Amino acid sequence: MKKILISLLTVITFVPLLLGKPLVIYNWSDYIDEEILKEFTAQAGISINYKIYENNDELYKILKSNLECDIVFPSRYYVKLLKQEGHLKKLDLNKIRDLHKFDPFLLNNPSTKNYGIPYFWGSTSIIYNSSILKIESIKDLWREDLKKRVVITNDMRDMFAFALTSIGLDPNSEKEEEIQQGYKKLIELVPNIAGFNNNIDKLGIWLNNRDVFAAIAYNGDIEEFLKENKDLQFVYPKEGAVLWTDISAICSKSQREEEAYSFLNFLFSDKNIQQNTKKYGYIPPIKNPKENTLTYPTQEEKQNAIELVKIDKSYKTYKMYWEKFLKELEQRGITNED
Amino acid sequence: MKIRSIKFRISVTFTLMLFLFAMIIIVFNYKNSMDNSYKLAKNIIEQTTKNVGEKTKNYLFKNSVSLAIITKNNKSNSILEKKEENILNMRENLLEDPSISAIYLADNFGNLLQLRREPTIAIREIKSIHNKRVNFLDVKDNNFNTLEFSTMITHYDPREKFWFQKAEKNIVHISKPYLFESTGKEGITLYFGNYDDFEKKIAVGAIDITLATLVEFLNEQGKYINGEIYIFDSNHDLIISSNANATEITKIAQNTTSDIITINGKKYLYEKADFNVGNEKWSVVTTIDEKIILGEAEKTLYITVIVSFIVLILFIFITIKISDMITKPIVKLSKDIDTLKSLKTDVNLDNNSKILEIYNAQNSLISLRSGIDSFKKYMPSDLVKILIDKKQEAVIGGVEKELVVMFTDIKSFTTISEQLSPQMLTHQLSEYFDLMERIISKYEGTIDKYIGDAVMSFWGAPTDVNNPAEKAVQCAIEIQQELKKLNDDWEDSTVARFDTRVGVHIGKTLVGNIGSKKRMNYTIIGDTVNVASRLEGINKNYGTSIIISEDVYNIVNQKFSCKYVDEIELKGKTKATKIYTIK
Repeated sequence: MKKILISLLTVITFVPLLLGKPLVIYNWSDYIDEEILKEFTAQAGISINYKIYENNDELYKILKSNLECDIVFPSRYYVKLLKQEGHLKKLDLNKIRDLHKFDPFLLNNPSTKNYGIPYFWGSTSIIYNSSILKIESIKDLWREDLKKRVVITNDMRDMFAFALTSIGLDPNSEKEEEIQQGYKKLIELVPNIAGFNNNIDKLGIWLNNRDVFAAIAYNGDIEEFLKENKDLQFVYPKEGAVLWTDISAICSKSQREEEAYSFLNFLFSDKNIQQNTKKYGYIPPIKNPKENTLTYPTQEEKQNAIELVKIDKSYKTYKMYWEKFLKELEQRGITNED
Repeated sequence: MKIRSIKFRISVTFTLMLFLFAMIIIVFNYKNSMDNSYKLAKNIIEQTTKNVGEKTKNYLFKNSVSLAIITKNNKSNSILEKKEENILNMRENLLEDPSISAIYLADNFGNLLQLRREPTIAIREIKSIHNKRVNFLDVKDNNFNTLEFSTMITHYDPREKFWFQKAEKNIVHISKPYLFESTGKEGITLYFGNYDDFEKKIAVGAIDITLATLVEFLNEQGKYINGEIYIFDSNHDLIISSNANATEITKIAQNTTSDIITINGKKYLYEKADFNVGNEKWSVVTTIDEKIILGEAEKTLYITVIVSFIVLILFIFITIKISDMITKPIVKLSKDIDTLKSLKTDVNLDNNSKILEIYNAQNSLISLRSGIDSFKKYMPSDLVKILIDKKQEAVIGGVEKELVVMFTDIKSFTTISEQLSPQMLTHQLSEYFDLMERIISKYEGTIDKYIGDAVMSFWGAPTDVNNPAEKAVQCAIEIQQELKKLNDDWEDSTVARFDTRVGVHIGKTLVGNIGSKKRMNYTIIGDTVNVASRLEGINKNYGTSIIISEDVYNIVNQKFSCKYVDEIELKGKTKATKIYTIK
C-alpha cells in the first residue's frame, strides 16, 4: 500500500513537471495557424515553443546542435540525409489516427515512408494567360515571341530543373558538362525574362495587365489569381513540373514522444487541416481535398513530376553558373530584389 | 607729523586711496553680481520648474487620447474579435513612442491582448478557451516578423488587476508609480474603460509608461540649470528625480514655500510648482546649489581682486617713478646748496627738470651760484670756507695764538704806478697778486689782506700748520725766485720791475673775526704784526729783500743759510733784536 502511495505521489508530482515542459516545434514561417496551437494547449494542457527556420540547412544545423527539439517539418528531398544521420525517429504509424485519409502518393514516398507524415505539398509550374497563348511544354517558355514576357523563379534548383528537363537531361545531374548545358539553356532564356516572382502582388499585376504572358510560380501563391482571372491557367507541362512536399517528423532527440504524437494527431484533424489550408493556400496531404483544387495535379501529373534530390558534390558548380546567369540578368537591369 | 620723503608720502597716499577705491568697487560689484546671479537663477528655476511640470504632464498624458480611441474601438464583448485591427492600432502608437513600454486591452472574458516592447517586441494574448486560459506569446523581430511563438496555460487574469477594476467610463486614470512585473522597471499605467449602452464595462485599455525616459528628460533639464529636479506625487512621495541620490530632499516638498532652503548644512535655491496629473496633484521641485549661483559672482570677485592687486602694484611703481622725478632733483638741489654753502662753486648744477617748480628752483640755484661766484671774488673765500667748515665764521671774537706773520711790499711802487698806464698797472698787479697768492697758499699760509701793493699773511690759523716758520721762510724765498722769473717775463712789455721786500716774524697775536657785526674780517692784531711790518720796511736800509727776526732765525737757521744783519731796537721793546737775512 505504501509503495503504491509513494509511486502515485511521485507520478502526481512529476506529471505537472512533465506537463510544465513545453513541446518544441521547429517550422517554416506562416505554416501553422496560431489558433490551432492555442487550442492544443488549452485542450491538452501542453505548452508549446514554436520556432521558425528559413531553410532546410538551418533546420539541419538545429538538429545537429544541443538544442531541444520534438517536431520538425523538413522538405522531402532533405529527409534522406536526416534519416541517414539518425536525426529522425522512425514513426509508429499505429499511433497516427486515420492514416487512410492521407494521399498514399505522398505518405508512401520511398524517401519519407515511416519517417514523416506529409504536411503540405505544392508545385512549381507555369501560369500563363490562355487568351494570348497556350503552353504545353517547358520549351514554350523559350518561344521567340515571348520577349520580356516571362517571369521566372529565384530558386536555382527549380530553374536548372526546368532547363535540364527541357533538353532531356537529368534535373539532378551532377555532371559538369550537363550542368553547363543547362546553364547555356538558361542564357538562351534571358531575352524573354521580364523579372522574378518574388513579389506576389507584383506578379498578379503583371499577369492581369498582360505585361507578362507566362510565369513560373508556386501553386499556393497563384491560387487567388486563378479564381479572379479566368484567363489565367496553371499548367503541368508534359515534361513534368517540380513537386515539393514538406513532412512532419519527430526528432530522435525528442523526450516527449507521446506529446508529439498528440500534437500531430491534433494537427491532422480534419478541422485543422481545413483551417491551415484555408489560411495558407497550399495543397493539403489528404486524398481528394476540397480546397485549393484549382492547381491539384492529376495522378498522371503526379507520376510525371520532377522530384528534386539533395546534391552535394556539384552544388558549387550549380552555384557558379547560377551566379553567372544572375549577373547576365543584372546587366539588363533585372535583379532578384523585391 | 614726522618728516618723510615725497616718495613715501605720495606712495602711501596713493596706495591708500587706490586701495580704498578698489575695495568700494569690489564690494559693490560683488554685491551687485550676487544679486544678479540670484535673480537670474530664480528666473531660470521658475521657468524650468513650470516647464518640467508641463512637460511631465504632457509626457504622461500625450497618449491618453490614443488609448481612449483604441479602447473604444472595441464595441463587442471580446477584444479578440478585432484582433488584427487592435494590433495595428497598438503598433502605431507603441513603436513610435519610446516612453511606452506596453499597450494592452482586456475584456470581461479574461482575454488579454498586449503589445509590448520589453524585453523584446512581442504580442501577448491570453485567450479563454474551454474555461482554460492560454497565454500565447508571439515574439517579433525589428521588422515585426515572427521569430517564435509560445503557448502555455496561465492563471493570469486581467480582471483581477487594479487597472481593470479601477477603470472608469471615459476617464483616463493614472496609477501611482510602481515596478512593472514583466520588466522590473519603474513606471506608471494609464487606464481607460469602455462601457456599453447598459453601463456595462466591456473593454479596458491600458498603457504602461516607463519613467526611464522621463528621468532622462529630468537629467537634461537638471544639467541645463545646474541643479536638481524632483517630482513628487500627491502624498509628497518622491517619484523620480534627476539625481540618483535624492534621499535628502524627500520630505522638504511638504512644507517649504521659501526661496532658499538648507539641507545638511548646504543652502539651495528652491522652487516648487504643482501640476495636475489626471485627478492627482503632483509637484515639481527644483533646487540649485547656492554655491553654483554664487560661484560666478565669486569667480568675478576673485578676478577683480587679482586684477585690482596687479593694478595697485603697477600704480605703486608709477607713483614711485613720478615721485622720483620730484625727489631726485630736490635732493640734488639740497646737496648742491650744501656744497654752495661751503663756497664751492664748481658743482655741476642741472636745470633739466620737467616739473616747473623744480625747474625754477634749479634755475634760481644757478643764479645764486653766479652770485656767490661774483661775491667770492671779493673775499678770501678759501679762508671763509675754512672758517665755515670749522664753524668759526659766525661770531666776533679772537684767540691768542702764536703765529708766523709775513709782510711783503713792492719797492718804489708809487713811482712805478706813475710810470705805468692804468691798464698795464692793473694787469701787472693782477699777475703779481696771483703769484703771491699761489705761493703763499702753496706753503699753507693765510692771506689776511692786501694793503695797496703790500700783502699781509700769516701761518698757524685758522688751521694749525706744521713748521710754520720754515714754511714762511721757504715761501719768502720762492716768492723772490718766482718774482724774478715773472719780472724777466715782463721785461719786453713793461718798464717796471716789481721788486718785493719781505719781513717775517713769529710771536703771539690775537687772531679771529675782528670788526663790526655786519662787517667782519678774519684777521690778526698784535705786536707781532707790527714787528713783521717794520722788518719788511727795514729791508730798505740794508738793501736786502728778506729780513727775518731773531725768533724766526732761532727756528730756521739749521735749514736755511742765514746772514746776521744787525741788531735793532723795536718800539716798545726794551731789549734790542737781532735781524737776519737769507743768503
